[in-house]
Amino acid sequence: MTLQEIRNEYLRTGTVLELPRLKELLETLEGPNRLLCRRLILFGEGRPDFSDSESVDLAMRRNSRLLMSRLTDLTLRQ
Amino acid sequence: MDLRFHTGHFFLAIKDEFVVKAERIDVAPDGFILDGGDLKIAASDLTHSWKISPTQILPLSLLNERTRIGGAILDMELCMKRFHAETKQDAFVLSDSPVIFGAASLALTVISDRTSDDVDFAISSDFLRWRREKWSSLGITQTETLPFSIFAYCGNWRSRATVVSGLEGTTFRLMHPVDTVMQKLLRIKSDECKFEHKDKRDIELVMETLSPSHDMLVALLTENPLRYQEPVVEPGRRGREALAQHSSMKENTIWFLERFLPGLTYDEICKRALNQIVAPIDSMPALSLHQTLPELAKIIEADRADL
Repeated sequence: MTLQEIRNEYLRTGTVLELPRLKELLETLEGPNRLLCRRLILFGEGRPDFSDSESVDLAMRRNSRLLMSRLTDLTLRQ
Repeated sequence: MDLRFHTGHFFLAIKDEFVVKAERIDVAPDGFILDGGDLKIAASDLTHSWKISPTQILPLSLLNERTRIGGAILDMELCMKRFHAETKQDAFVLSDSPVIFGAASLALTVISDRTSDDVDFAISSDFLRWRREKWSSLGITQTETLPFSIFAYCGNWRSRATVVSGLEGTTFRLMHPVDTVMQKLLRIKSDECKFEHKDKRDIELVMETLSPSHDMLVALLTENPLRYQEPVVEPGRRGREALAQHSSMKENTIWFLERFLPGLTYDEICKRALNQIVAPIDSMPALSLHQTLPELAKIIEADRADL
């Protein structure tokens, strides 16, 4: 899986896949990809850094999707 | 598009144990903030949410009984929080926390498949007055609130009550099933035939599950002599109610005696109860939950852990 695919999977399910591989990958990355990889590792370890605005944004997008995935809209049945 | 907040009419199930109502849900990095901060829930705790229109109700068939009771408990906790914020008073003093009684107390202990349309709470009078005037409940389960005086004719129920904790950490007292039985025997006859249709079955199930001894039942029935005192006949509605209450209690107790203590008459029970008025208090039979009903204690402990 690519870094973007792992990110998308996190947004979809809330789970960070391939965490050991991400840790190995971290050393080889640079720039925004390295930052994203680091964020995903921290999410995967259950200790996200909410002083980082990008982490906050990622978590909020994830929670917004989670809310929608658990929602049953009963108004549509009327 | 990922929305940062949602408005409308929502019900949210938390860990499938509690259900809360919200009209605004703000998405936060670590979960959801409901109605501007009244309650915050962790994202992983959200197990389901339903959106309804203002004229719709959430079908109760979507929830299990335990969730409904949890919803009523949480409703009470949020109400206490609001009461404290508005009046600067606590909803209860430490030793007098709200009591869950009636069918819900049985559903949380010995009759796990027991279902009920409402959850009964006894709460302090000040809080009760405020709640009736100011609080609009969550709307999941009908919550019946009454003052502690509802137990005026019960025995030493306080010493046998156990505790459950709500989602917000409030401690509620849970009436012991045997005391719920004693309380059900006070059911007034005109009360929609509830004694015939619901209470008798509940009482039989509690008796079957716990098998309390003959002596324990006699002790429970005779603990409070006030129960058997003939009411003073006063003119008006209150006098009629007192007479009807006494007459119903007598009829229900006679049924109970015939069913579970054959050989003992109502008059004999009255005599024993009234004799205890002059008996020294230490001669009253001890009915400690853990000493007399170990099996039930285990069940209650398990329920406490779950909650």
